[in-house]
Amino acid sequence: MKKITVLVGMLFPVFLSFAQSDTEKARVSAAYQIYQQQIPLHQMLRIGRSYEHFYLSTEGNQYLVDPVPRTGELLYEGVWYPEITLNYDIYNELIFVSFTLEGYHRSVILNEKRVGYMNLHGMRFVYLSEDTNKQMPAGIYQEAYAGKAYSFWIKRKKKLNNNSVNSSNGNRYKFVQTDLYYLKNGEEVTRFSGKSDLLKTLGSTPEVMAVIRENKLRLKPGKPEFVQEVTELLRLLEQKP
Amino acid sequence: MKKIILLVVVWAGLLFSATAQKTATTLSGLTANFRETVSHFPHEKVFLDTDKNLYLTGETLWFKAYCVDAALHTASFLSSVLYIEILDHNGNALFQEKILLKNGQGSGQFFLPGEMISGNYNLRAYTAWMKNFSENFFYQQPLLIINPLKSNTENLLTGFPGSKSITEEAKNDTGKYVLADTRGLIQYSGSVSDKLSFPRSFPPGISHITWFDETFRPLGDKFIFTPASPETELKLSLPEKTFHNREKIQAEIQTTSQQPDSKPVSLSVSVYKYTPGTDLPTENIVDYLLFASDLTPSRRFNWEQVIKGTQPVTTWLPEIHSPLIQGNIRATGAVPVPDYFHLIFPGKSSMFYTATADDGKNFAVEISPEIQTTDLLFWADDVNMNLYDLEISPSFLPAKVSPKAEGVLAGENLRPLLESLSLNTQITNAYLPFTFVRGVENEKIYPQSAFYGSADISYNLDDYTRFPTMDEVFTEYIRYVIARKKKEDSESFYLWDLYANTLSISNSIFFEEPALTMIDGVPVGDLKTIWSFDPRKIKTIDMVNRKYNAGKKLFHGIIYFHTYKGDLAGEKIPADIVQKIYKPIQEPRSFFSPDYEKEEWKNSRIPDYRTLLYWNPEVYTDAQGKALFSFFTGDDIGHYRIEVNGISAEGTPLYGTFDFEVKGE
Repeated sequence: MKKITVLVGMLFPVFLSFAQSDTEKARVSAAYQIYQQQIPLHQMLRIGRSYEHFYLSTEGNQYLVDPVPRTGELLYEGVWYPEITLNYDIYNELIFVSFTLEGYHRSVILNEKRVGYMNLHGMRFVYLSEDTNKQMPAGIYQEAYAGKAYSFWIKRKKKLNNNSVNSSNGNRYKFVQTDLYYLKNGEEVTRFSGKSDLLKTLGSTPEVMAVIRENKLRLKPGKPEFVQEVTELLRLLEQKP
Repeated sequence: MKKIILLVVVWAGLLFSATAQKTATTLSGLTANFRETVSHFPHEKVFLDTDKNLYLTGETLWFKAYCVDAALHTASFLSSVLYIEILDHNGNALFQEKILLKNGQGSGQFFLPGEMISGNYNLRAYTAWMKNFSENFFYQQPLLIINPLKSNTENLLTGFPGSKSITEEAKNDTGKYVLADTRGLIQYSGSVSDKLSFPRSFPPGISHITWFDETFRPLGDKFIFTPASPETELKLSLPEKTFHNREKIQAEIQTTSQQPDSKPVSLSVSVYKYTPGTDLPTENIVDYLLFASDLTPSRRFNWEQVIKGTQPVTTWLPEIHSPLIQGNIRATGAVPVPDYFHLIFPGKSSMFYTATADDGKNFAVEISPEIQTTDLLFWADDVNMNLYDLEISPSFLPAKVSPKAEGVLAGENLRPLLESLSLNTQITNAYLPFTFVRGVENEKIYPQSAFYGSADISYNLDDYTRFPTMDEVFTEYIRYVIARKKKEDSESFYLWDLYANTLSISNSIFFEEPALTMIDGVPVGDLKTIWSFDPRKIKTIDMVNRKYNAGKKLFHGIIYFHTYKGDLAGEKIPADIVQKIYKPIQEPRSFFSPDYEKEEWKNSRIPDYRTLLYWNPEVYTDAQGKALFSFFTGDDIGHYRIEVNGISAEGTPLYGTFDFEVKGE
């Protein structure tokens, strides 16, 4: 019985290859091979500034989430990369891709102005030029919500604080998250830091207050649910007739 | 144990025979080779939907391109760039454009200038991958362009031929084996004598039946024509059949076969003026993909190669992600070809790439589709690129076959329509804004930026005292860089490595190798050029004080001089750089038409005699297979036609038309 199992298992790939395979992927296999022999994978992303930012004696890290580059999606210089290993250093404002070339690990910084958009850690980032009223400086922003009237943008930031007094592990410095929140309504941009700022922009109308009350939105900055609640508020307001 | 080894040997042998091609000696060998050839070297088909089938000079030809897998008719993922040309009857290219394809679709336009003479032209389109195969498979469509102000129009008004019947039945029953396929997908293979299992019907389109003798030598080939299925028909509906001037028309498109969870269908829609009874021969996507594209003088593969199991030779790489620059570099003297060299697009939005030549001295470099400059420089550090024969493979192929356009002539019955269209075009060009004819230029998405992105240190020279010499500028306020002699006779910049120690700049050191020095993206080998440059022409000096990866080359920083216009401010390109011309991807423009519901147009007294009322290359169906669109009629009365082409995600071509009339106030 075991022998039969071995035989069937071994022949399985043969049957597969004999089968008519007219799927899109199978149909381009030779053409892809010819292409890949000549064009190294992600050739255009391998040109750029070297990423070399290492911080000693620091608590935390300078990255969006953690130091390990992850698979994300990227539209860069007009080319779509559905699976690309990258990371975002929000302290230095640098997006970089990681790869191995001739046995060496390389990290290459992207030209942020040519990032169409990037999806990383479930967040979508876009490069924005400075707005006409100079409220939002040019840079990479997280697009947290994009509705018909409102859009909600977050500038993910970290700063390096002196940590020598409170440090329990001897680290002299500490990375601290200092995100900035922006609400766009057409051409008008408002920076807000919490509920009161937001209500000034949206207007503390009975309609807005009712949505906040009915959905129990606390809108407390610093809380993990803050971004989600702001997004929910904007979505619900836009659904109103 | 011996048995297991034997099994492994048998398995390995079978796997090899299943994947590697060899001369067919059995029917299964022939079908395996056929499948391998057809599926591993897939062909592409291109269809161009144009807004009209007759053009006058001074008009814009709008088009939507559909690039599909030749067998499945699903979107082709092999090509991201399409090459489109308007050829005259001698095969000379009058206009050439490259457009970007996304999921096998793209759009663009040609403006037809008043200098063109009336005549039959040929609209041709192909991808880089299609250039590996016969030009018979390129998209080619006759195009009648009339210049009402030039005299040779009379010669064209002589009547046009009718279409040919293409139906032919398969009756041949000679030979020993028979293989039937539809666009390369095998429908049947077996013995000629086994008539019972031969299929009774074939998929829509052209199917081929090929007979072979006992040695698998092809004896003959016949084709079967199967009509398009009803699901290729698009249903169009309008609230009325007649409308007034400047009236808004809401139109609805409905796919005939609506499957649950079907993906949105991308459609191209045009609404143009025509005269009943004066139809010019025109192709729609259904007729083209199912029939015309497969009615070629030869098959898409070579039977000899299929039988022997040899693979087609391909010289053109598919442009899968973005445009490619392919070329060849050869030494003309004793100096060997460099291991790598760089391709640079200078200017305000400079781009920088690295190429490596293979053993045959061929190179291929992927470049961004966003490049809009025509200057392309070839440069290598310390190498005179003029010592080599450097050729870029032409993107556009010279037309070898005689264009189809020869057979298309305008009929005498077109005269009234031509006269009406001519008058309308002249009124449109005279009174309506330029954007009505040429469309609206789409905004650039990305800001201008040098290839490296943000500099580590940047000096805006207008913020400092302006000095008359560059030497004074560097002495007075430019820091983190020194000029040293690299060789006895030439000087180079060496940059401070800011990231050698991130905790303290004071501990940093200068790089050991010179920096890449550039003015507007053009490399400067010797600093004599910099020292003699008028600093008042320089806007900013950027420094990238970190290593810069460029393929096998690692530059030790970049010092980059920006002039105000990004044009070198009159400085010449250094002699060791080779200059070439690059044809950028066309920026698609948007069709523009007045909105008579808006205040600015409501009481407009500008005459609106547009012959093209609406063009939209991107209309999408919803989950119910329905799409809505609207447009305004103009001031001209007469008959108009709505024409819609499209293709479903599953590869079903779709087409529909609807005629209506505008009867005045």
